[in-house]
Amino acid sequence: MALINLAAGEINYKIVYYGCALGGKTTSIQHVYRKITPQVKGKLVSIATEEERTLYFDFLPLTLEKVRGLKTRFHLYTVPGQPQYNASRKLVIQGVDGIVFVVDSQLEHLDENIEAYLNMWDNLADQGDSPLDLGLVMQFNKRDLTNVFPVNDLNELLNQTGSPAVESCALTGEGVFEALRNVTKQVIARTEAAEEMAPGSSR
Amino acid sequence: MGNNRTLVSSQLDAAMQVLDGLWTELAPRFLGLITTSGHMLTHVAGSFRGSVDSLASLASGSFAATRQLTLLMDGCDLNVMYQEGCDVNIYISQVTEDVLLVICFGKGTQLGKVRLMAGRAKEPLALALESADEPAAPVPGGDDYARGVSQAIDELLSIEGEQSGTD
Ligand SMILES: Nc1nc2c(ncn2[C@@H]2O[C@H](COP(=O)(O)OP(=O)(O)OP(=O)(O)O)[C@@H](O)[C@H]2O)c(=O)[nH]1
Ligand SMILES: [Mg+2]
Repeated sequence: MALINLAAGEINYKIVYYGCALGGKTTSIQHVYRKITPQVKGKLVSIATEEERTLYFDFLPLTLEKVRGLKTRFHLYTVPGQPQYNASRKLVIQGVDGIVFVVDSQLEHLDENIEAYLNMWDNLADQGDSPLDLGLVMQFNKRDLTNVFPVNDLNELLNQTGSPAVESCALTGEGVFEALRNVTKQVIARTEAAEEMAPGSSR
Repeated sequence: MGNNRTLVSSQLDAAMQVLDGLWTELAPRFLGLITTSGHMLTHVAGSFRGSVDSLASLASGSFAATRQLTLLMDGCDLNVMYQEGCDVNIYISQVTEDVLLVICFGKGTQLGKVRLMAGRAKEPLALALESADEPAAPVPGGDDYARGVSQAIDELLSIEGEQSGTD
């Protein structure tokens, strides 16, 4: 749910990178942090284990210039992908507006991807949300490797919502901006639609 | 996502009045209202020089995790959390279902007083945040806003930027 803070003149959105362990969520958000215009980015905060596996979340705030007197802010988060951290994933997705679902394209990780995808549906359902009501982009990652599924197969296996899909290599950053651009535009379009449907509703 | 949360000026003004009162009573280092999803609603930063966004994200995350932990341990819901630091203590209390009050204070302020004042502030804060006198306006600018932001996103996240952006 977007937070429209008219008093402060800003709209806040929460975008979450979701997906299986070691799929490239943290690498993606790190690429955004490194390569985005310095003026728009805040501090990158990571709560990780000694081995640099996400323990709770990575967090990066982005603030866009004012449009029509309103600042637009995107708070980017990653979830920890390891199965045992589900309680943390549930907390991170509270109030989410858009999801970048990062897929590990390697053949041997299919089951982990499917498990993570179903887990996303479950966790969203638990908080009364659905991927159908959010911005959603599939980011097919690790396309630089050779032992990967063709994109068509990944779409058929994982993209049950027919959402936009972007091929990426988070290590070099290829496709990372494109996925982020796609999801942020979706959430903007959805806020507008929601406001049109319910003008005057305060929540 | 049809349930966006809109805050209008009158709500934040009323909340700010309560925060001002707390500020006078407690002379803390930082006072803020954040959402459970990690967004800052309003704050008085005092001597705090760090990132307010990081603070909101970490405080909401920490509260949420501790809350789940207490539910797990004794089935009790948590609505107040206290953390003693070396120099600064952190007190977080639930104001409404989705808003938390964060108070960071130094050794010169007694915890008991923080607890008392935060408890007293809860009801007026909840009232301020929940009852909007003015109906919430739609996003100002509507179509124009969406178009403008979309354009800004294109410029910010262009493929060229992806390749040649600054390090
Ligand atoms: N070859 C290749 N390696 C990648 C790519 N993206 C990430 N990696 C590597 O995959 C490993 C895991 O990446 P992370 O970004 O930490 O994965 P994560 O999804 O955040 O994992 P968790 O925090 O455990 O959920 C690291 O060694 C990365 O360098 C990619 O596109 N190609
Ligand atoms: Mg990670």
